[in-house]
This record gives sequence, C-alpha cells and structure tokens, in this order.
Amino acid sequence: MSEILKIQGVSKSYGKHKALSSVSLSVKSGSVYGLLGPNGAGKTSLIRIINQITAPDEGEVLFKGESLRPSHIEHIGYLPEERGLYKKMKVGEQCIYLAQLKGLSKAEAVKRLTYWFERFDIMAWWNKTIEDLSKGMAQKVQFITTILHEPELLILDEPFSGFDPINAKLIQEEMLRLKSKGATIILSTHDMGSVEELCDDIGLIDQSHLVLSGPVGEVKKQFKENLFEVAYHGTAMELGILMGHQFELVQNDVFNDHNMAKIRISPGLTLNHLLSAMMSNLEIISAREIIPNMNEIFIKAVTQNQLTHE
Amino acid sequence: MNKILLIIKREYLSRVKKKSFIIMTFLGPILFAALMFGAIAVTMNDNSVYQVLVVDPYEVITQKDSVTGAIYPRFTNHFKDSEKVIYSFSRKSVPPEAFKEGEYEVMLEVDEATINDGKCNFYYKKFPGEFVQRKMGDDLENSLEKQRVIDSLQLDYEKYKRAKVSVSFADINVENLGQEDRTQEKAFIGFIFAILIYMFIFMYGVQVMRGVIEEKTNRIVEVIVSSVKPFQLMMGKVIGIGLVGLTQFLMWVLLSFIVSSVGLSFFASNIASGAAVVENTQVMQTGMDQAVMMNELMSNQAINWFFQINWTLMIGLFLFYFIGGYFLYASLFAAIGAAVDSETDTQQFMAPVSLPLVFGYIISAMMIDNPESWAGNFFSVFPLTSPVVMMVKATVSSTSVGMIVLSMVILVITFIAFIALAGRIYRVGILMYGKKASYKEIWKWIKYNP
Repeated sequence: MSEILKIQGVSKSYGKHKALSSVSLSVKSGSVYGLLGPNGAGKTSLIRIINQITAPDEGEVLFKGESLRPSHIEHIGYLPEERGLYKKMKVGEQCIYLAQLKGLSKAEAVKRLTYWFERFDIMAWWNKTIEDLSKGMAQKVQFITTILHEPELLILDEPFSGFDPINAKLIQEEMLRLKSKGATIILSTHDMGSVEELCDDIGLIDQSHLVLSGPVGEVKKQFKENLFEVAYHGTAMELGILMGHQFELVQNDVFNDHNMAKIRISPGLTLNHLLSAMMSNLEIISAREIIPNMNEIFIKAVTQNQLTHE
Repeated sequence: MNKILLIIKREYLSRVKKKSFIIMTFLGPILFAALMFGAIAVTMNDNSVYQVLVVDPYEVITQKDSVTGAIYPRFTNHFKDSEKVIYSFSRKSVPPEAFKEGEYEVMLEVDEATINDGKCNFYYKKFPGEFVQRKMGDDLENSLEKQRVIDSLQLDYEKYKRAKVSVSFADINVENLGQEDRTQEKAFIGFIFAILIYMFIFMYGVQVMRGVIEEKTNRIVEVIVSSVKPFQLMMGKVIGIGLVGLTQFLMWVLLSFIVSSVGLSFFASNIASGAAVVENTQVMQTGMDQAVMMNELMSNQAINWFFQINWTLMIGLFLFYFIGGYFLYASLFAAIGAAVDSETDTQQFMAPVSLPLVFGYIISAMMIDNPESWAGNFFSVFPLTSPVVMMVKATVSSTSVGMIVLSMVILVITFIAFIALAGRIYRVGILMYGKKASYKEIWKWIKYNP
C-alpha cells in the first residue's frame, strides 16, 4: 500500500515552546490513522502543518510523494476541533462559499450539496441560518462542508464531540464509507473506543515527540506482557505448586464453582507450555491471552515517556 | 475564482444586504440634510416676535413728548421696530413680579454702567436668539455712541461718522492675484471632509475588528485558514468592508445631492432674506459661527468662492486619504480583533490606536483658524493623522503640491508596513483561543516564523 502522507523530521517551535521535535511518521493510502496524545502534546500543531496553516521550522511533509504546496489544499479536508460556522449566514450559501474556497465551482458545489443534503435528509435547512440550528444539526452541516470536495485525505479532530450517539454512529458510518471509496482518514481523538474500532495504524505524540507508532495490532503486541487468564476447577494452592520459575501467578480470584488466575509466563514460552503444565493436575475451563486495550496503552506510553523526560 | 475575491464578495454582500446598511444609507443623507437645514432654521426661521422694553432712567437715549408724555427714541435711526423686535420705552424699570406677569419678553436696563462702560443687563422671560441680541446690541451701541459724540464731545455726528473707518480683510494669495481667497471658509469645507474621513475610518475600521472577532469566536476561522492563507482572509475582509464604506459614501453623495436640491428650492426664499440679514449685521466679521457660515455659503455673494474650490481635487483627495487612512487603521483594527477573544477585551488596544485619529480630528478643527501653523504642517504629513488633517490643509492655497505628494507617499509606505505588521499578528492571533494577548506576547507573535 502506498503512502499518501509522509512526515519527515518535522520540528516546530513557538518562541521557547517546542511544539514538535523531529516527528516522522507516514500514513498509508486508504487507511484510518489514529493521531493520539494528551492535550497540548503537539497534535494540533502537526495537523496545522499538514493543512499548511503553519509551516514547519525543520523537516518536510510529502503529500503523495510531493513536497506540500498550496494546490494540495483541494485534496485535503479538515474538521478542526475548534470549529464553527458563520452564525448569521444561510446554511446553503455558507456551504457553497466554503466549497468555493476549496476550489469547487459554484454549480458543482450546488450539485454535490444537493446530494448530501438529501442523503442526510436536511434539505429543509438550506435557507435557515446556523443560529436557527441546534448544535448537533450544525455539526452535520460542518461535516458535509469538510467532505464535500471529496478530499483524498481527511483530517478529523475530535469528530464525534457534540454529536448524540445516533448521529455519531451516522458520522462513523460515513467515515467508513469514504474509506471504502479510497479516502485516507487521520483521526485525532481521545475516545480510545473509536480508535480500536476504526484505526488501522496509530501514532502517539507526547511532549512534542512521537513516542509510539505502527499498526494497531503491532502496537498492542508491543505492549502485551505475556499475561494469560485461565479459568480452572481446583484450588489456588494446587495451582501455586505448579508455577515454578517459568510461570508467575499474578492474581487469583475465587468464584462459586471455579477460579480465575492471571499468570505471566517467561519469555520464549507459549500458552501451550502453561496449559500442559496445568493440565496434569487441574481441569481447565478456558484460557486467553490478556491484550492491553488502547486506553491502557495510551496511559502506559505517556507515563513512561514522562518518566524518562523527568 | 480567485479566493481573495470570494472573500471580498462575501464580506461585501453580507454587509450591503443587511437591513442596518440599507437604513443608514437612506437615513444618513436625510439626517445630514435635516441637520444642515435645522441649523439654518434655528437661526432664521424663528418667527416669534419679541416685545422689548428699554428702560432709560437717565434719559440718555430716549426723550419724552412734552404733549403726550410718550417716551420714544432720541435718535430715530435706531431702535426701529423690525419683524422680530418691537420696542417700548420707559423711564422706570418694571419690578420682577410685574415683569413676569407683563407683556414684555425682554427688558433692557440702561444704567450707569451701561452709559460709562457699555455694560448692560437684560432681563428675559424668553431668551432672545442671536439675531435679536445683535439687533438690540447694535441699536444700543449706536445710540450711546451718538449720544456721547453729540452731548459729551460736542461734535457734529455726521462729521464724526465720516472720520470713522471699519476695516474688513480680503485675503489674496500672492500666487493667485485677482481673486479673494476666503481661506477660512475653504478650510471649513475641508473640515467637513475631514469629519467624513474620521467617521468612515472609525465606523468601518471597527467593523473589520468585529468581523475578525466574530470569526474567532464562531471558530470558523480555522476552517477557513485551512483553505486560504490568513493574510488573504485578512485582506479580503479589509478590502470588502472598505468597499462597503465607499458604496455608502457614494450613495450618500448621490442622495445628499438629491435631498439638498429638493431642500434648497424649498428654502430658497427664506435663504435670500436670511442672507440680507447677514450682510446688514456684519456677521461675517466674527467668522466662524457655523450656521452663519452656512447662510453665507448659500447666499449669492458667497457662491463665488464656493465654486473656486477645486472640487475634483477635493473628492480625489478624499478618496485617496479615505482609502489610505482606512487601510492603515483597518489593518490595526484587524490585528486587535485577532489579539483578543471577545469585544469586551478590546479596550486596552483600542485606546492607543484611536488616539492619533481623534488627535488628528482636533488638530484639523483648530486648523480652520490657523491653517499655517507648524503643527498643521507636521500633522498633515504624519501618516497617522494625515488622512484627516490634510483634508483641511489642502484647501489652503499656499499648500504646495510637493507637500501633498510627500504626505501621500509617506501614507502609502506606512500603510503597507502596517498591513505587513498586522498580518503577522493576525495569523498567530486568530488561532489563539481563550485568552487575551499582552503587548509582550504580540511582540513575540510578530517575530514568529509563519
């Protein structure tokens, strides 16, 4: 899969404040890339550089292999976290204006808007002003203005904030539909649930550094601790005898008719080794590897990074 | 379509279509004309008649008919009744209570102080306007003078009158012989243009600031600067709103012309008689009374100099200084809008920006009386005040073309510099949410890399 976006050694400072320290990452065409990080880590700075709102002090951004230039704006759609529309302008007029700024002709803008307004069933809003709409309604309009010029790269910063669960679901479906049609999406969010659900790759920025990146599966692998959860019939005592130096019993919970143990196994060993050791004396009900979720990875990576910087 | 044109179009149309703009466009000239004619009407069309009692206990300016006992003016040329003033005479003053109840509106008391020093008290129930006061004053002054000449100096009054000279100046620029210059009257016209420029810069400069704050608080600004450069957005806004200002001005000129031609024909007869009063009472010697100036402006005699003014030049200068001054101040207002988070935070920055403009306005008002002062010369070249001050200065015929050109060049250089500076503040400020910047911080923004 080719890369639509490649960021190479990008640094950016505001006075003495370092917003980005030689960040390098790449986004594969047709993927959903999760850009993660705590508040103030430098995500917005990076997004603004990709949108050419600001320029990097050092490094380079390549869009489809070309150095970033103004004409690329027409191929990028951006939904900022701090977003809004002209309150007193009519919805239709406003959408046409924003589409024209992205390089669409008026006729083309009207044609596409009609399609989207009908699709979202909001044609009745065309002549209303934004101040007449609810926040969720305005967000829908905003989403349409972001994708109307059919960008190849879509950058969405907290796209679900302000939406009720139904509309959030609608937006999520639209995102996946756009992805299936070939669009690439950079998703910046604190909602780790949606990261797990939607993202193919992630990059985690903390204190201006990219501290973690890669495919979601790989990242998870990187953070797994060879920890397994085994349910069995028997006692903790019986289990303890079996452990030896190869296995470590981290936790054992007693339930009505079974026990649930968390066991860490030494590097190089697999679940098979554990199971064969246990099988001789205990009845195993179920076993699975404990894989950390994105939330835990996020917290762990950030905490580690902050410890190393202190 | 070019993106900056799109922005200009939006800024322009969204304002021109507003109700408030349309109302102001039509109401403006009507209000302006109403103000002008109102001022004239106040001084001229006061139709009420004043009953004036002249009390002369020392018998200096009145005499008594030995047969009827009636008291009448000693010098029959003075204290003649007019349309507005009807005189009565008495030896004894009327006590306050009786005066309040009585028929007289005004009572003049010729006492010792009046006879010796010309100081005269008048009592009134209804305050006499400028013209009534002038008539009473002239009548009293001339009568007292005649009394002194005849009684105290024992001279022949006709001979005395021949010896008396009253001086009036006609200003003639040595560069332009053969016609009277009327420098002060022209400067007054220049001042009207100065007021317009001052008003327009403020009105539309503040609109730029509001527009920037609106985009910032609406949070649409980040959406837009992902499509266009911040500088394009700023310039689109500044130019779009400037065009709204010019549209309004042109509409005002057009409508004022229509309204005033209608108004003028309506007032024509009154103005003709008003002008006569002006001539008689030698009002022009005192110079700057605005209403009187208006009268003069419209009287036949004054029309001469009115057409001497190079109107093409004045309109040309107005447009140039409006545009130049507007760009200069609007860019500063845009920077202020970008630096704050809400309109209530603007005070701190508004003061230093509007101060030079207000100062220029004051200077140009003072220049009507003294157009050749060094301060006038300096501030008509100094770019922060020149858009206002030069409008007055340029009406003075001794102002050289070189000076106007110098002032223009400096203004252009300055506004370009200010736009560049404001652009640097703007592009950082618009993306800073939730805080008001300090001067120190703004200085840092200016130095940031884009």
